[in-house]
Amino acid sequence: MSWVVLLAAAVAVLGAIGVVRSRIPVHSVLALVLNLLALAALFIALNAEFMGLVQIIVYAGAVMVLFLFVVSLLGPRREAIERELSLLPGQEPLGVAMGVLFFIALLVAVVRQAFPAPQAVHGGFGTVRAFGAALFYEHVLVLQLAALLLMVAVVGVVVLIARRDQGR
Amino acid sequence: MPGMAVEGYVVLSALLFVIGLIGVLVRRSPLVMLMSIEVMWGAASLLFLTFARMWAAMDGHVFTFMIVAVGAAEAAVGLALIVLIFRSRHKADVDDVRALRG
Amino acid sequence: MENGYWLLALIPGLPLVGAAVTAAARNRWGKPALAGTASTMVGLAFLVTVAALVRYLDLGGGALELSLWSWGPAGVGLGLLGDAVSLWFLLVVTGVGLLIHIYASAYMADDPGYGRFFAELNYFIFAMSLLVLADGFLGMLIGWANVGLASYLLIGFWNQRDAAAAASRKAFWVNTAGEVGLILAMAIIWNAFGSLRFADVLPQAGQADPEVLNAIALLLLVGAVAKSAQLPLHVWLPDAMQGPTPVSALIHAATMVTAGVYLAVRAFPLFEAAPVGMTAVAVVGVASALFGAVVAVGQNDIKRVLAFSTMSQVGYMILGAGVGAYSAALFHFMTHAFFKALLFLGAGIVIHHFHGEQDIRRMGGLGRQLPFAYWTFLIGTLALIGVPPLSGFFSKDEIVVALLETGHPWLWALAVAAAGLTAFYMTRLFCLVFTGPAPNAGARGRAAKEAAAARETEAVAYWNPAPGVHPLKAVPVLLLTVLSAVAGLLSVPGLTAVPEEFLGRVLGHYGAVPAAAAAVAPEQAKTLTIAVLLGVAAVAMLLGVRLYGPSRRAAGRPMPLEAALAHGFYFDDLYRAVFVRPLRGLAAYVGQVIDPQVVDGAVNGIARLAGTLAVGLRHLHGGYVRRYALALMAGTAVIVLYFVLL
Repeated sequence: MSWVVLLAAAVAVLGAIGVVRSRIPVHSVLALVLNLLALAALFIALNAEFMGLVQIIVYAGAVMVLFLFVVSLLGPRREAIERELSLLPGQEPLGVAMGVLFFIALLVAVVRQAFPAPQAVHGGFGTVRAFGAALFYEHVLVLQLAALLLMVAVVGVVVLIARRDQGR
Repeated sequence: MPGMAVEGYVVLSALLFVIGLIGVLVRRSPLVMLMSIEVMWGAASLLFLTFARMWAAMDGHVFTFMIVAVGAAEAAVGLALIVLIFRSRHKADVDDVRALRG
Repeated sequence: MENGYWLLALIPGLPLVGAAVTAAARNRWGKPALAGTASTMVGLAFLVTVAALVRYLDLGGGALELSLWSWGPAGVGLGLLGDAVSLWFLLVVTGVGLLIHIYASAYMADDPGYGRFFAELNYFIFAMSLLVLADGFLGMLIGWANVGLASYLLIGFWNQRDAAAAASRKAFWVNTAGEVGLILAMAIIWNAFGSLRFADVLPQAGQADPEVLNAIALLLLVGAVAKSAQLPLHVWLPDAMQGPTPVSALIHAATMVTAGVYLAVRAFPLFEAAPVGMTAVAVVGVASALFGAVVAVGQNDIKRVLAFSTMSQVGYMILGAGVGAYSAALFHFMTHAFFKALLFLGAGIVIHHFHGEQDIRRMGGLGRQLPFAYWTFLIGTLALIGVPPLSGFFSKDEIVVALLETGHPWLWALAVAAAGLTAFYMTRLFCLVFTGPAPNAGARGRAAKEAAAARETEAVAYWNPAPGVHPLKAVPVLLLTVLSAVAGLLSVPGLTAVPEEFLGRVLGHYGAVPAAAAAVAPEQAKTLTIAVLLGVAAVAMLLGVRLYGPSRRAAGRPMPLEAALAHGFYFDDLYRAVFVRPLRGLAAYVGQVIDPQVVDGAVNGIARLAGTLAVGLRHLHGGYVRRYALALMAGTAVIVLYFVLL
């Protein structure tokens, strides 16, 4: 058991809690970046080097920049709405209680399940080469679907955001 | 298994997932809800990679790749929707968006 | 067995097309086109029937079959079956139907509902031919119900008259009661035999449980009794005379009321196999024959006399079927169709002559004014009474002889009594209408009579066999007169036996019912029966002429039991007291108490409950996405816990 892994796990949990708890949107974004970086470390510890790097580049880099853009667009101040009276009485304690219940259920499921010992991996497991072979030889359709999905998302965003009156 | 046992990774994943879930349920800012969802995506990715390592198979990696793509697309569309809501209401509270009311 | 003989489909199909066309064009076409279309369709159906008959005779054995539709397992479906029995009926239905169409084209000439009348008449021919052509109980029931509807429409043809509307409702209700019996019988048949087709059910009729067979036979009998106006469900037939006279002739004398006879003959293996089946049929038949004859004596409406006479004569047919004399019953059906249609059409001429007057006490002396009506009506009357060599003599005689041969002396005696009464009431009817002094018509009546006579002779410039009668009325009457006179020659004892041979292909010769030990030898039975029948008829006729002839001895004197007879022994009042009034009371109670309090209360209560629930449940459906997410997650947690812990 390596202390790096434990540290990364602790940071990931703390980051997640920070996302949920912080009152200021910018703090949430930064906590999320922390969470994603810790996850990337865990990925690499799991021999998933390429996915760890993708996590850093795509999520912590590109997606988080997107979030920051939106936050700065909307104003980085604390959002006033969070202080108003909630319209849904008891939503917060109920949500937490349900979440805990759900976690207990998952925990029981994990405890009851006997996991086999991990198999030995060859030297190239999780590298770009192995990932590329899996993606392009076995799961070409996934690649196509991902491409299509991203394109639909881009077109959808443009359609959503474009102001109708700008063509005039 | 490097670092810790499989159970440790699975429990960590479950914990991250539940935290993200609680964030979706408790927070009213759509931006924070979106970020909580990102946390849940990360938990799912971690689980996939854990089992990929356990079975020494690359399919889990491909799935994680798919999750990253879906997460990016979801973030883009979700942020676009938030911007739209702000544009029309000048504040963002999911409880104000009640078109689903019967 | 010849399958796929598609011409069979034309027999019901052509009148159906005719009905649709005339109904659609009833306000656009002229009267000749409407009547022509309808009559042509029935005429073509008659020709097709003849063609099918020729084909059937060529086949030797077996029947013509055409499957129209089948569903699921064998035994349910609609097919046509042309065998001796159904072709025998079809000849009468389409043949007499054609003649009555022609007659009606003149009789109804002044009616504003001309096109509707012919559409409904064609529809009736369609339904009736479907009834007799169907190859199973299902198809027969479809025809049966359609015939009932056609009868309802035509009885209530003059629907602006309250009496006609009430009569049509009554007929429909009684017939529906019969249909319930028929449907129940079909359900039991399906349960016992696994099929509704005649070809599957009838050959194995004897294998079922006797109790089950009893139930089937009695329920079938309920259907037959209702449709054929037999005791005790006869009450609709006299009222049905509210319909136009051609309708009375075609539906309520010649064809539809004999559907019960058709059913009894068609399903005879079921009746024979059932321990009480045959006895019940025979008892109903003889009771109706006697009852109808007795009541007919006391009736004063010309059409009601004929209606009770019809009930009585159909009773003879049912009686014949009840002792196994099937071919005799069907032979009587055919001759009766001829002479009873003739009598009704003649009555139509008489009624027109007296400008709608139907009370025979206010008629008289028609013999000198309308010799054509006099002679044709006389032939019809004598045929009905059973005077040799006219048709009624041979056919009625055959049934009555069969009673003695199969060892039923009591039934024989009752049937003979009914025959005597028949002779008496028909003589009374004839004498009152055609002999004696003409009624004293006022100046207005005389002028109207002259106008009517002028109209009748107007169209008659070229050729007219009957002065004072429209030729389109005269020709059918003339043809029916000839048929009434000579149809009996089909079955002269010892010489010809056409009905027995032809129908025997399907029915076998009667004898399936074992003759009782005391049965009289056939030859003796014949001689005795003929002698007694003729003697009784002669005495009754003499009495009738003495009482009601030109001298009118009995005209003013009250008849014994007059009120009871005139009211048909109060059956209507009985039913009114037993069924109608309690049901009305029940309906009123339901309408005033149960409906507002229980039904409306339940409905309003449900509405209130829904409202209360909605107020409570509204919170679940507030449109708050986070609430939905919470509920979703709670559900997921519970499901996961369920699977993890159990």
